[in-house]
Amino acid sequence: MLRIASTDEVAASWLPSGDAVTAALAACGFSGWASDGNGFALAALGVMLCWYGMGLTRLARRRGLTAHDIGRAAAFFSGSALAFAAIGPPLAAYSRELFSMHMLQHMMLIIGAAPLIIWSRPAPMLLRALPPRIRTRTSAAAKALGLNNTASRLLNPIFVWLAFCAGFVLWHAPGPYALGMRYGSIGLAEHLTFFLTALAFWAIAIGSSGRHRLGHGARLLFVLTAAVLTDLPGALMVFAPRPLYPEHAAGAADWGLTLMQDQEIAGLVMWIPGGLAYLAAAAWLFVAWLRDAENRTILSAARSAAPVALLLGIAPLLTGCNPSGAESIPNFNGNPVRGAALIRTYGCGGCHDIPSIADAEGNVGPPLTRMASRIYIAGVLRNTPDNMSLWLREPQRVVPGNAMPQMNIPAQDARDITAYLYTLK
Amino acid sequence: MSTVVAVSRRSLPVGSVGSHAIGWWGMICAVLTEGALFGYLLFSYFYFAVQPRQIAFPPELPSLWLAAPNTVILLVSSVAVWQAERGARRDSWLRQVVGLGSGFVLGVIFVGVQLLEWQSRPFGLSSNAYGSLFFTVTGFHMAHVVLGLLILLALTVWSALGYFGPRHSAPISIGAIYWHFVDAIWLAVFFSFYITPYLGLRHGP
Repeated sequence: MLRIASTDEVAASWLPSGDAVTAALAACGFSGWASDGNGFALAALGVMLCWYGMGLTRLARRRGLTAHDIGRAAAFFSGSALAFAAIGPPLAAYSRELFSMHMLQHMMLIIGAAPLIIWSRPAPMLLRALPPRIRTRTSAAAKALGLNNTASRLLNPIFVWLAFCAGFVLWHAPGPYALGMRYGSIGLAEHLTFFLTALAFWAIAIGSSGRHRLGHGARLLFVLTAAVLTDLPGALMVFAPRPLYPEHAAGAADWGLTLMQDQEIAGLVMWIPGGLAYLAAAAWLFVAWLRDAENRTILSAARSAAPVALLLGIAPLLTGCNPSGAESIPNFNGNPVRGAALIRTYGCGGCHDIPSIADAEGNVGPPLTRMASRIYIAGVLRNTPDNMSLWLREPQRVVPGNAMPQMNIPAQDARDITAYLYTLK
Repeated sequence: MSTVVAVSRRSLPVGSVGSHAIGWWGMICAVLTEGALFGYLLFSYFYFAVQPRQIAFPPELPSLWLAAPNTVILLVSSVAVWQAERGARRDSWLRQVVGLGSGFVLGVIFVGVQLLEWQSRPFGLSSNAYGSLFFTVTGFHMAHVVLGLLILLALTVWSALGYFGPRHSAPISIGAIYWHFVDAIWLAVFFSFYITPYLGLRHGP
C-alpha cells in the first residue's frame, strides 16, 4: 500500500531531536532544515557535487571530455544521486516508519552509492577543481602532514574488512538500531559508519590505487567473505519468528503491514539485492582476472617476438609513406588523421613532445620524434604496431608503476593513435 | 660432458625455503574450512537467539568478569607470536624464543580461565538448547586452542634449538597464521555469546 507523506510529515521527521549535535549546530547558527544531522549530511553532499562539477567544467574547457571521462562523471553523479535519495526526503521520513524502508536506505548507501562513487575515481577531478597554485600547496601540505601515508595505512585490507563487517553487523543488532532511531546524532553516526566503511571497502575491492593493492584472487576472497557475513543479518530477519525491531510498530501499522511482514520484507531487501551486488562485483573481478591473465600471455609473447616479426611490421613503412588518411600500415587497421585528433583529445602532448601536434611539448615522458624508427617501446617491447597499441592501452600492465597513465583507451582509438605515430619517421 | 657438484648435506636447507611454502597454502585452506565450520556454528546460535522465549535462554545476561580479561590475554598472545615472527625474519633468536614462549604461556592461561568459566556456568552440555550451543561452540574453539598450543610448543622448542632464521622462517609464519585464526575466531565467539545479548539479541517476549 503506497501512501504519500505530506510535507508537514516530512518536516516533522526531520525535526531536531534534542541531542548534542543539534544543540551544537544550533549554537553555530544553523537553523531550519539544516539543524538536523541529516540536513548537514545533505549539505556536505551538495558541496561535493558542486566541487566535482567545477573540476569537470575546468577539464572540459582545457581539453574536452572523452567518453571515458563522461562515464566516470555519470557514475559519480548517479552515486551521489543515490546517496541523496537515501538520506533526503521522502525516504528519510519513510525509513522512520518502516523497517524495510530503512534497510532499503542502508542498501542504497552501501551497495549503490559507495561503489559507484569509488568506481568514478573522484579524487583527480576534485583536485582539478582547485586553482593550480592551491592544488600544489594542498598536495605539499598533505605530504608534510603525512596524510597520504595515513590514508594508505588505514586502507589495510584486513582492517577495512573488519571495520566494514563489524559496522554492518553491529548497527543491525536490535539494541544499537533502536538507539539510532531514538537519537538523531546516533542515527547519523550509523549512516556515516555505513557510508565511510563502504567507501573504504569498495576502494579495496574495485579501486585501483593504494599501498595494499590486492591481487584479483585476494579481492574475490575479500568481497565474497564479506558478502556471506553481511547477508546473515538479512537471513536472520527473514527467518526470525518474532519481531526484533518493535520501534516500527506504529509506522508499519500506518502502512497496513504487520511488524513481521515489514521485517521479512526488510530481510529480503538486505539479503537478495545485497547478495546480487556482491555477486556482480565478484563476477566483474573474475572477468578482470581472466583478462589480466590473457594480457600477460600476449605480453610475454610480444616480449619474446623475434626480430623477424619486427622487420615484417616496419619494413613496409620504410618504403612508402601515405599520410593521406587512408591505411598507412599494411594489414593494420588504423586511421592516422583520426589518431592525430585523438592525441589532442587524450592530451598526450601534456607529457610528450610530439611532432606536428599543436602544444605537444611536454617534458614528462620521452619525445615521440621518429617514433616509427625506434626499436623499443618503453624499453621492453619490440616496436611493432600491435605492441604499440597494447602499450597505449595497458601501460601499467606492461611496466607496472611507470609514469604513463592507464587511460582506458578503446582498441580502435589505440590503433588510430598508433597509425599516426608510425607516420613519424 | 657433465659436471658433478658436491654440496655438503649440512648446507642444504631443512624444510621449505621462502614464505609461501606448500605448508603455508595448506594452512590457508585449513583456516578457510575451519572458518566455515565456525560460521555454521555461530549462525545456528543466532538462529536460536531469535526464537521465541519457549526455548531455554538464561534469564541473566552473560557475565564478562572472566571472558573479557581472557579475550585480552588471547589478543596479547597473538601480538607475542607476531613479534616472534618478526624476530625470525630479522634473525633475532631472543625475540623469536621469547615471543613464541610467551604466546604459549598466555595460551595456557587462556585455557585455564576458560575451564573456570565453564565451571561457573549453572548449566551443562545437555541441560538445554542454550547449554548445548554454548558448550559445543566454545568446546570446538577450545579444541582449536589446544591444537594451537601444541604447535606453539613445538615451534618454541625448535626455535630455542636454533632451527629457524631469516631464510627459514616459514614454519613460524604457518604456526602464526593458525594462532591468529584461533584468536579471530575467539573474537567472533565472544562477540556472539557475550556481547550480542547486551545489544538486544536475546530471547524477547
